[in-house]
Amino acid sequence: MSSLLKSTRSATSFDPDFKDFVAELRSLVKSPDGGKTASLAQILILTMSIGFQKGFKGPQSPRSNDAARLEYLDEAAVAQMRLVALVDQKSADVLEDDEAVIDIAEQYSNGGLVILRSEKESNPSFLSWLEKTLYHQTKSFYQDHLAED
Amino acid sequence: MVVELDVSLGQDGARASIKRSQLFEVLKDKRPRRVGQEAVVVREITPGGLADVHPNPEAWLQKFFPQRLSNFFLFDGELMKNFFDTRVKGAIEDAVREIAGVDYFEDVRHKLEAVKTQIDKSIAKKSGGDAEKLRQKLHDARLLALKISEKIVKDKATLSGLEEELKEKEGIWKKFEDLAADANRSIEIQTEIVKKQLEIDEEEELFRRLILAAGPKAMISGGLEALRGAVESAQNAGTLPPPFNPQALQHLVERGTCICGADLSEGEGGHREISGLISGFEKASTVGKRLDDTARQWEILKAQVREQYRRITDTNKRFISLKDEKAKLAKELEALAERLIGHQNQSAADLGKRVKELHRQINDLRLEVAADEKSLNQELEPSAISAQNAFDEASKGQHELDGLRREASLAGELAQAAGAIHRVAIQLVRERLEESVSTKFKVVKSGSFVTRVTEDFEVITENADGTEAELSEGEKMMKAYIFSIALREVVGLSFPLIVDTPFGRLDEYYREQLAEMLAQLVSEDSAKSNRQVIFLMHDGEYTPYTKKHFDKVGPYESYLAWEVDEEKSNIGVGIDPDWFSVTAWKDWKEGKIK
Repeated sequence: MSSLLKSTRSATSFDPDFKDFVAELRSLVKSPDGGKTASLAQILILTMSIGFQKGFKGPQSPRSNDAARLEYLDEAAVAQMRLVALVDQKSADVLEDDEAVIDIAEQYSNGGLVILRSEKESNPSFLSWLEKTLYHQTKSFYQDHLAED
Repeated sequence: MVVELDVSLGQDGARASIKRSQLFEVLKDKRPRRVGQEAVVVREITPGGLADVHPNPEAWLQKFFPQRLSNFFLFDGELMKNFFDTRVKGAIEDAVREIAGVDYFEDVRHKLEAVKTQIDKSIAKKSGGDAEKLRQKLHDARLLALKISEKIVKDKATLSGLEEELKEKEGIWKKFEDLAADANRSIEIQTEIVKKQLEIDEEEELFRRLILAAGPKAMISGGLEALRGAVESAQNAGTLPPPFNPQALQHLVERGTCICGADLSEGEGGHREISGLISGFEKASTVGKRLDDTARQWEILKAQVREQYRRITDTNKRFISLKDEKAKLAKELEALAERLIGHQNQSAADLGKRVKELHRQINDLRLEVAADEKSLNQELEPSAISAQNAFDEASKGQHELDGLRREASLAGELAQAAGAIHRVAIQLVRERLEESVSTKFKVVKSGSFVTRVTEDFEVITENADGTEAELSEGEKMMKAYIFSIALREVVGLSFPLIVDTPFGRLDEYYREQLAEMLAQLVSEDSAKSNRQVIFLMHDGEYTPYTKKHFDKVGPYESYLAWEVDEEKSNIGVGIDPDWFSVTAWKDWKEGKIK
């Protein structure tokens, strides 16, 4: 299976400090497609969206290639990553460089991990909080942009 | 320990000193344990002082205090709430007859009937051999009719008792049947609850999956405006690829024809046009192509989120509805469990057996009574009348016997009158009891209802619409106390009401309610009445919260306390000083409880 993103790396990477937390997160959240645990690609998109929504980027991950393999990032994931990169760079030119797109996605993902871990440590109802956050975002998106269509 | 009381009994001024001794042993921890009691000692109090010890004190007491009345004069508070639940009708009737002395008329009737028999004997003797034989026949016929009548009365009383028991047992049995249905329903509900929980879990999981799918896209959606702007810019700059699939177009050109029939072979206009489009796509920038892909993909993502949100809303509704249904089931289960607590299969089995047995006994007895009544009405009474006629005929015409016959007739009429008086006297007592109980109960319980004493001496409280009123435990106990006091008033008995643990097992709320009602009852019309009520209460029962009600009627308080150090009992006036170490009594002493 070939990758939709052109890159010299074989996979994305997370901040190594969050290795354990990523594993914990995978076991906590349900895979949207029915799998027992969420895939690394799903965690990447989830954390990236959290970081992006809060406008918080983490450090650039060293290229450990220990996160989602590029070929597992489907068209939907790539479209989300490209949108994040475009907004971050305030220019569509960034789309020419998939390496840059991946870097930006990883930075937001690392930012999202910081936010989520902090919430997990302070909030005993972490999962409920996460679900509530995602639900309210979905609801506003639907009501503001999708319902009238 | 010796308790000695001077008491006045009845209205004839009889007084006595009654002494009873209890024997205790002292345990290792210095607490006392009762090991027995000595016989009661009675010494009548006469104007000259104390008489000698009565040789048979129990019999003497029975004279004033028949055993069958003890249930109405010496109470155990713990049993008071069941006072009218138990089958007391017969006992009440007996008590009324005993106390009101109406049985005297019954005795008179029996005596007059004996006189009539004696006179008939004399008539027979004087009338000669045939009359004597006829008199004997008449006597036998009357005796047999009387025996059968008495048997019928006795059987009817037994029947009434059995029917009462059956009614009571069937009431309980109905509850057991309901309980069996409850038990089955409980099992069903438990299964339904598990099923509902599984459905809830499924909905919850679906909700989580949907929210994880839609949520991240929604969180990024804030960037869509920027994407739209970038697409527009690229469109203006002509860097966007044309809206066709270049591979598909290339395929058409290679085939040289279109399904619409257009000729696309080389050199034709269509061929040139399509080749131009393909060339335009190749010229479009990488950025333009990726921008275009991203924009197209986001249209798909938006459609997905729309669908996912709708499913989230549906699953939410189902989740809430399932939770409600489960909560309702849990509530029902809880109510069923409450009803099922404390019931055992064995008691149900015993009860079922008894109900069956009662049905058989009642049926047998009804048949027996019906047969006896038929025999009495169709055979024995006509036979007695015919014997009387034959006897009258045989002794007729003898002038000197006319006087005796008149006497016999008079004795018969008087016996009948005594029987009628007996019935009227009972009725009168019943009516006066009803009036007294109803009036007193209204004093302590407000509302539009009446308390009736029925023909069967059943004491029931009814609402204005004739339905039986629901009474609290405290009110049931109060009604029993009132009945006892009314009985004293109606028959003029001055023996005090003595109750051990008057509040039984009532909780604090009903205890206070009862204390208030009792105080009200004792004070009611106090100028005219001379009610004496003696309550024996332990420290857990007589609290400042009950005392405050009794204080209104100025009680005489006395205590009996076991002094561990001194190894003896102390009796004193007022409140036991040791009680003041308890917070509530401290508060009372400091005037905090009013």
